[in-house]
Amino acid sequence: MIKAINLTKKFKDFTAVDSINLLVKPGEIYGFLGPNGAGKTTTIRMLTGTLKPTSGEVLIMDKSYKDYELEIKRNIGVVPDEPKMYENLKGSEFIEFIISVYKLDSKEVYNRFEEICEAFNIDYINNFIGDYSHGMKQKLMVASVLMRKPKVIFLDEPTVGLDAKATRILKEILHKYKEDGCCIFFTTHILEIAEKMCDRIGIIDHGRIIAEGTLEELRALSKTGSTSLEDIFLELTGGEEIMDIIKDL
Amino acid sequence: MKDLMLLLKFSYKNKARPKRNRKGQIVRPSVASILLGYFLVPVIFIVAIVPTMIFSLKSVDLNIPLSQLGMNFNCTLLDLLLAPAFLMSSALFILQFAPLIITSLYDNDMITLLLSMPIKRSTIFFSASIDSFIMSGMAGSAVFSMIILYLVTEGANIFFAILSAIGFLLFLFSISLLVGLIMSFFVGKTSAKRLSQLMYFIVIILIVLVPQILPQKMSSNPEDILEMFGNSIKIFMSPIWPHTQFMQSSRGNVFSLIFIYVISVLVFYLIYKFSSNLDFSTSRKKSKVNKIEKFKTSRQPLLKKEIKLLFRNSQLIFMMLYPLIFPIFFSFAGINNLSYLAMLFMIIAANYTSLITSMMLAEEIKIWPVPKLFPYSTKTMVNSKVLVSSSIFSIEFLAISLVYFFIFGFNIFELILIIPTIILLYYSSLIGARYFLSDPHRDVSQTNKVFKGKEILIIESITMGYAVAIFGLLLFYDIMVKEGLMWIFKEMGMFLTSLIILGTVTALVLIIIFSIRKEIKKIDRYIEQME
Repeated sequence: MIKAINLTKKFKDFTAVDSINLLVKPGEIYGFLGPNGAGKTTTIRMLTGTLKPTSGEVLIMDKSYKDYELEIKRNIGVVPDEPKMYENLKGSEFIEFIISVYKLDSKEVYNRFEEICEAFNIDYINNFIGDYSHGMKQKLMVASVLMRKPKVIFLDEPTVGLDAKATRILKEILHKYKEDGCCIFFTTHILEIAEKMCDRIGIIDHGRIIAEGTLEELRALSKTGSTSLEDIFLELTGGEEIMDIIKDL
Repeated sequence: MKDLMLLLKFSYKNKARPKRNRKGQIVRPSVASILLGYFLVPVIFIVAIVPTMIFSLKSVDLNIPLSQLGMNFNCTLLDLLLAPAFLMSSALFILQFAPLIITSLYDNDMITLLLSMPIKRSTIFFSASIDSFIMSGMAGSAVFSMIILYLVTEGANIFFAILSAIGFLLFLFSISLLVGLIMSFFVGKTSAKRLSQLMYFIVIILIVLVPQILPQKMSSNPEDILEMFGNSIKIFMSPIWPHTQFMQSSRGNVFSLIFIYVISVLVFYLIYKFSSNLDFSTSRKKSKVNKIEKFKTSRQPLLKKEIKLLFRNSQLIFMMLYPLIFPIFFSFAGINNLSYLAMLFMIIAANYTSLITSMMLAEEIKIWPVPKLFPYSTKTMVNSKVLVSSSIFSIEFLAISLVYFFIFGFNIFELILIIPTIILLYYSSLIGARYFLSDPHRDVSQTNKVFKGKEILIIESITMGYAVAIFGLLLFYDIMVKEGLMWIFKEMGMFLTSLIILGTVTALVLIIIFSIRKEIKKIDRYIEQME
């Protein structure tokens, strides 16, 4: 469902993403991990069509952005790293805008949205978005994507700003959608979530995918025999020097 | 005090936009130049308005006690004349300043960080208040102008003049802070922002409109004026108003002077005590209806959204309404020349179309890349803004024309004005979009300042230049048709004159049509590069 072929993005002399290849299948949750500045958001922006790759190609449901941009966008859902929305619209108006612009069946979406609102405790829908806190915006953004139940879902740090209950609900909903055949691609810094949720994990560093596979396959890559994802991640991304740094402090 | 100065210093440093100099180095403007940017318009306003007003008021002796005119009141004719203006400007100052405090205090990302630092909450509150005062601009300068105007015309004692002026400003300042504090319990930051913007534009409109209306009132029978003043004196000169106390104190009334300072100090103390315990969170009152009963979907969601956002931005509403000021004046004055009106309307509307388009685009850039995720192309998004902004002014002009045709009769020449109007408005809107998109990553944190000075100058020159050229020529032609040929055209005869003027206008319109195609191509190129 999500396919990236030799995907590269250069910003002048700096290569943010260096010839990466990805394949995520329907009914799969793919966790995309990496240290800050590794190229996660750049990759997700290319996969969602908001950033043009310098070279390489992205195929979503076997279709390329070059020829089917709008069709792809109608079928994907994206929760960006920052929940930015029109501040002078009310939450309800933003949702109505989404339903109209994606040409959704309002009756079908209504029940799903109601359930999501109840689960996430979204009871501020008629207030202006400009008055929301970060967490409130994040919940509304997540709800606006999940209510559509798109075939492919991208989430960039979706748990930032969410409380423990909302995070748990999000995880459960994503699992349910996965069972229903949705393809889910998400980035997170909370390795525990990735460990528990993802079928496969890709680790990016300096714009290159340095490891990819199931948790078992990643464990096999560890030279020190680490079993937790955190240890494997730090070993692969050079984070083992942190103890020396802490000692020096 | 040291903390307060430090907060203010960094607040203004933070407001500065770094610029690149000719060598390509990034230069950050100094605090003084940033402050000058805020004070420039109010200072120009004061310098331009006050001397004229003083001159006109000084030409007649208004320092006549009302008792001499047979009215049993302890004030002068000058007090009575200026009291309504004092009341209006004071009220608008408070109403603009108070919501500004809420926006700068509660809509400020830095507050959470500042609260974690060893700085008193009251210091944070007062720094935000001073910040807001400097941003209050026109409302502040209107009050300031009134004070200077009154003190100079009255010929007040310098000692009492300075003390009473400072006291009056402190009084208004303290009341505004109190109102701001109280408002923060009831008003959300979005509403506060809108209220503050709305008040700003009401101040500007009143400043422009009041002098047009007042002389008509003043020209009535003096006895009627005195009677009218007699009836209103109890309202405008009531001792509860700060300006009444200010007027009294400037004339040497020590009791009024002490009263102003005591009340101000008490209010400040109250605010100081209260703000020390503030948590700096606005009322997050939940709407009573927090469920959507039924989704109201639309066939034109993009258009619906644009119009909603447009009419929720006070500044954009002001810009949409401002060109209508001339038709209102004209109808007051009974002028029926639509081509003259068209020229004035277009000079403003053409420029505002560009600015509104750019400001609407800035709303999208603020949430970028989210709009890029929606299932419509960036070109559709840009086009919707270009069309909405030009359509609004086109509809306004059509409505004005219809009203004029209805009142003053149908005229085929004036009907033709609609064609260049629509073409120029559409072109101006495209110009705004093109300049904005030439640098889509520009600073859009202040939506009303999306363009650099040079860009504004170019846009104004293009849009206003075309408006003056086309509609100025048409006005000139209209005058000659009605009143006979003039200037070099006297010798040419009507046919040749028509050929030259209407031919030039047609050529200009054709140039614009040709330029529209070029602008669309440029916009398409910029959209291609937008990420």
